[in-house]
Amino acid sequence: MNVASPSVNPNDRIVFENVSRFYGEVLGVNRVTMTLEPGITGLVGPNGSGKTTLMNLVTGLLRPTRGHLTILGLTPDQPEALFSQVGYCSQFDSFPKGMTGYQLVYSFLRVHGFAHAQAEAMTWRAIRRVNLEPAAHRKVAAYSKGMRQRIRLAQAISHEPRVMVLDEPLNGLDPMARAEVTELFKELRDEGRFVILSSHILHEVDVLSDQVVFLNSGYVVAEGEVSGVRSEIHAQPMKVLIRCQKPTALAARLFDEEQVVAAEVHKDGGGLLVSTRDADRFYLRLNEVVAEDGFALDTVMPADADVQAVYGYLIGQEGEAR
Amino acid sequence: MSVEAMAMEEQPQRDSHWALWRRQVVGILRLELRKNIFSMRAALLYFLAAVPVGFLGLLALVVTFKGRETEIGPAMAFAGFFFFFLGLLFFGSLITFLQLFRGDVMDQSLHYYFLCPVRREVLVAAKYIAGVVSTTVVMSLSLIACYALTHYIFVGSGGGDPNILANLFRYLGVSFLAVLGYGAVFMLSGLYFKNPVLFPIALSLWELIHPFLPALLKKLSVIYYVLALMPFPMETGPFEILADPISPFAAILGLLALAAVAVWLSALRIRRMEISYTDD
Repeated sequence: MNVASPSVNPNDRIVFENVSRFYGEVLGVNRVTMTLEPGITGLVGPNGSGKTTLMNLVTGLLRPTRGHLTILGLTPDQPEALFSQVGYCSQFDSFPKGMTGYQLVYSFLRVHGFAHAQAEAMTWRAIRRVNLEPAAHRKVAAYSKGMRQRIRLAQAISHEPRVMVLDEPLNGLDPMARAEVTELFKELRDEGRFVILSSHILHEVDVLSDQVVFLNSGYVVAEGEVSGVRSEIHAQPMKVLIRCQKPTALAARLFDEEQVVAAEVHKDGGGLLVSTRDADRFYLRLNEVVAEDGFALDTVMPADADVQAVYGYLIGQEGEAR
Repeated sequence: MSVEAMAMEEQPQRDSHWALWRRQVVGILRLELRKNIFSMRAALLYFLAAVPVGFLGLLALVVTFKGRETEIGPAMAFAGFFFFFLGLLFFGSLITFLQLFRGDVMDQSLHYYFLCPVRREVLVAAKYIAGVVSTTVVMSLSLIACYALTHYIFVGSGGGDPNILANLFRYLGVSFLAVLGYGAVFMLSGLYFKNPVLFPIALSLWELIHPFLPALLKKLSVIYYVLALMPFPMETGPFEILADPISPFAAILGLLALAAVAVWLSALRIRRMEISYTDD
């Protein structure tokens, strides 16, 4: 199952081939087979679904119990090559003790093997990108939760990796910082990098992600563009929101159409919600109905083709907002 | 600028593996020396180093005011004292090296290194070097102070030591090699044994019963090689089982070989080590 169209370089992707990871007898992830292309990939799932395990596998902190994993054609057995290409902003809130934010990033780059001047320049660039310059020389231990999150992010991007793995990167950020960091992710995506992020805020995953991987109990339940995943969920009719002046009349007219499962006037009275099992044919038929009966439509849009709705259908409401 | 071009520009200059590894070792040393010498981790090491200095300092005060009554000369007095000091080196190495990786695992910061493009073998070597440097520096300062105090306390009573500096350097060398050997073994044990106490206890017993071990088993202890390097031969009692004497050169080689094997086994362990942050 490929998430996006194939890229030119066959190695420019992250490939999971039947990857399983067990912790003793406890399942981490099981039989994951997928290919991730550059862009923003959102991982969503309830606690214990395997998101962090999947991230730790990509960053080489864990090895697959079974299966094979390559990142840009590299395996975790090639740390010198792999980790210059991978940056990880873990959810884990621990740092080497006694360091300032600047020292944390600078020392990280020195361990990479960068010389002083280069490491210094790259450190400031990363710190500037996360807007932490004024606090750079303060101890990390004295940082707020949001600042610690940002310095972790700075560390992850400091060596300009192609693959960035970000575990709950928006946690602890205030709305302003959240917006700034979201913009940063978009910049990174536009630079052609891989951004793999998990978030419990489904709306943000929806807005940010080019593709989404839905996980539950260690299994990849679905993956791909959200609209594509939604269209594959045949058990749940698709909901289409139509904004128009005469919703009651249009609902009555559409109810007779064979593609329509249900049609109800929206609670605000300014439109209607139509449920259909064949969205493509419904849209075609809707065009014909509008032309035939002269209805004036304001907007027509899918009402449940977002991450939140798909998550609810695939995983259930019990995993919501975790 | 394309991502590939940027990535190429940002990579450390890879003129050779050795040059890269050297820079990485320097980067790791900066962090580790700071942890080993300037953090709370080092408090117990400093305490160990201060204990004999404090004890001999008190003795020096007593001698100053009450006069010297002993027949023992400073060289032999320090030779006897060095047995005790070897015990401190044992525990000093234990404190430093057991924490090299275990400490990072406990404070959950080992991922900081594991996410760098550094070979795990290079990481092990760099941490080991940092451990050797920090333990040797702290314990050597203690040794020098003890050596000076011993010579102050015992001088005049049994005659001076004509090779005072040569012997000091020899003791410093022996201390360095002891740290090299014990350090490698403790780093290894910190990686292989979950219980940090049992192995050091077993090793300390092994080292203590060393005089009574068969000749072949003696060679599997650190102290066997260390004693062969002492400026003065050590008598360990009437029940000692004598082994073929070993030359200083062979003793140094033996210690280096022991340390190399332990570091290599540590690298094997670290190469397979995984980190998991949460239960997700």
